[in-house]
Amino acid sequence: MFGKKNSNEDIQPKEDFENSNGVPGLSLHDSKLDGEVENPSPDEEILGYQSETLQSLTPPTIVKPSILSQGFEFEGTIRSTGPMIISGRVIGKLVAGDITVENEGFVDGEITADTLTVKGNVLGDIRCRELTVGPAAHVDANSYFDTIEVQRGGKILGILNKT
Amino acid sequence: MIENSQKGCLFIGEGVTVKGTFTVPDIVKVAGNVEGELSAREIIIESTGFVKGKIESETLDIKGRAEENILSKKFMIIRSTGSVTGAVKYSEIEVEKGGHLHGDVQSNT
Repeated sequence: MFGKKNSNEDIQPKEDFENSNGVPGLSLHDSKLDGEVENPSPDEEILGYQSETLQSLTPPTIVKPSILSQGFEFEGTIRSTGPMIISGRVIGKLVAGDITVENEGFVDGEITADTLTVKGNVLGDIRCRELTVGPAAHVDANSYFDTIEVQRGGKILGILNKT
Repeated sequence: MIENSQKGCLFIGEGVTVKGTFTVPDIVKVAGNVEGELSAREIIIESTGFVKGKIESETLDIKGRAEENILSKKFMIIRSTGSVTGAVKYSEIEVEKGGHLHGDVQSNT
């Protein structure tokens, strides 16, 4: 019995070994993969197709806003052609078409936008066409704008320049 | 309000230009031009009004133009036709869409 069992066990591992030793199988897989990689034309076609569709989607009408949520802290430069909502903290540069700094939002740095709505805190420099300061906002910045609107209660300090 | 009790009030009509220092206990309504210092409890600058110089008031309502030095101890509002240029000090401010605010703006508080 034991002998048989052992023999069976011996046989099975042998089979496994054979399979694992059947490295040819793996190498076959590798060769298949290599073959796929070596045929770059379909991949390139796919990529090209994707970038084309993305490009056709990117033009001016971006409706989905980029949101930087509360608790998120970012240091650096953010660029977007579409709308942006800032509820977190940004230290650095912000460039976008339409920026909203929410009540919890804080931006220290340079903001460049077409329309900027501030409900939270902004320090630094502002360049925009349309600036709206909400009732609970605090803006202490060197601002360049075309039109301004300050809702009652909103604080705006600094040098204001009309472009 | 001015019509009801004119005590302590000043009204500068359209086309009138005055220069000098004015201390008014109650309301000043400016439809003309003022050059100099203007101090009152409440100042209303009408759309035709223009004040150049030092303005000091508790409440300010600007539909016209104000230049140089502006101090509002309580509340100031710049209407859509209003334009403020110069050093501004306020405790509470409102700027209507279309209103102009240009210069060094500081808060009292």
